[in-house]
Amino acid sequence: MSDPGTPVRVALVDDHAIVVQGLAAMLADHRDRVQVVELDSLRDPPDDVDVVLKDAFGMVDDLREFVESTSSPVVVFAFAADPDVVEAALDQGVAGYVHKGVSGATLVAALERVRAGERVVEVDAAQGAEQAVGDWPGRRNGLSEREAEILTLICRGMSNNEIAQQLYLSINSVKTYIRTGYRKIGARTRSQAVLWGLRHGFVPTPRRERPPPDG
Amino acid sequence: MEPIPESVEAMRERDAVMEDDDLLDRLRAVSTEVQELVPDCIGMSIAILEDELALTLVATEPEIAVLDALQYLGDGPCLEAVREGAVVELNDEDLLDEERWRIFALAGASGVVASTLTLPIVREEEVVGSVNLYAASGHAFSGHHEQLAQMLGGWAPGAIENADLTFSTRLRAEQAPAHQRARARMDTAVGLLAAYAGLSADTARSRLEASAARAGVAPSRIAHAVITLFGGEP
Repeated sequence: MSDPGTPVRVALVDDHAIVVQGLAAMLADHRDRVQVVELDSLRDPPDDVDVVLKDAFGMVDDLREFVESTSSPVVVFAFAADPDVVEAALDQGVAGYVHKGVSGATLVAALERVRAGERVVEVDAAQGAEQAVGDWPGRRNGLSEREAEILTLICRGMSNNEIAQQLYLSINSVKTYIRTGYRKIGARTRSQAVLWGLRHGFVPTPRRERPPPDG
Repeated sequence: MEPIPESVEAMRERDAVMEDDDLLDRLRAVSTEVQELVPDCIGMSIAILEDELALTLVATEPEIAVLDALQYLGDGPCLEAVREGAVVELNDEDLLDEERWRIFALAGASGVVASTLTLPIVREEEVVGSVNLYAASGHAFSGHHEQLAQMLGGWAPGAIENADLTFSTRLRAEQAPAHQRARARMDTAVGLLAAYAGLSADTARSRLEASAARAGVAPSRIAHAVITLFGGEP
């Protein structure tokens, strides 16, 4: 573990490279406190970092295996602020849970506290936040993160019910997000939506990248 | 009347682009109108051919529906259950209650349905679906064809009485959730195949169906394999 006075060494992880890149860009303003040492898509997280920051894009419910695959503490960065979701994540062994509506400074502070051994939850200030930070597939086409999350799960073959359970949303909310998302991408069927998704980066691709030491 | 649990589930799984999430609410409302005209109407099913969607609603008031129906059964275990209070007042939490549906299913299977009315739904001179009504008394729908057709969007001249005294449509409705899930899986597989093979969605669907036919397996199995291969989540 690095010394408390030095920047927190962080690995950023998500299945989608664009999500990881978005997180890295967000933390770039805080180089004096956080050093991003690795960006991983579909790779095992490294052990030689202070904190693994996991963007839970569409996957809040399936963290235990990931947490057990690394000796570094894992902080989840997620869109859901529901207490049940937070508790489920903590039950799976994560060291921190930070909502995507928080500021970059709050996220950085959370990473520092986790390095110091604290268990951190940062969601209160985010209650009701509509707009998440970072980046995600389809953002440039007008999809909200929720819509993008759901399209990702559709591309993986999940049913409406399975998506609702995965994201802790009501079935009506899921269907509403599907409809608004479809309108934005011009899809009239599930087949067209999947086809669009695969042509716009919704397919997870293995990737490992180590930024230069100076960030 | 209220939808059976499988109909609620089928609508949950139905593709969101259909934009008919309120279909069950509309059917509830129209079933109330039907019962005002035919008080002992105890069941209603609707089938939409193109979407393979089959929904069933059953009467919710045991004192006017199940009790009326069960009187024909004599002193069987169902009637005992009702007398002992196993079936009581209903509220929202009871709508998915399996016991209530089990009792109704038993009643239906035992010949309690004494008359039925089948109305085709015709759009632009094509039959696109049908509505079936079930009542506990004989000839319950006689003389009401026109009014019921108007309420239900059916075609009165095509009305047939007593074509489904076994209430067979509820069996199709019970299978509806699986049908809707299978359709969603098929649509997803078509999109995945189209993307990976550089095809249009229509061509991908034709190819997938032709492959299934040549291999002699159900298209749903091919869809499952495509999703596992390309989508990562079977």
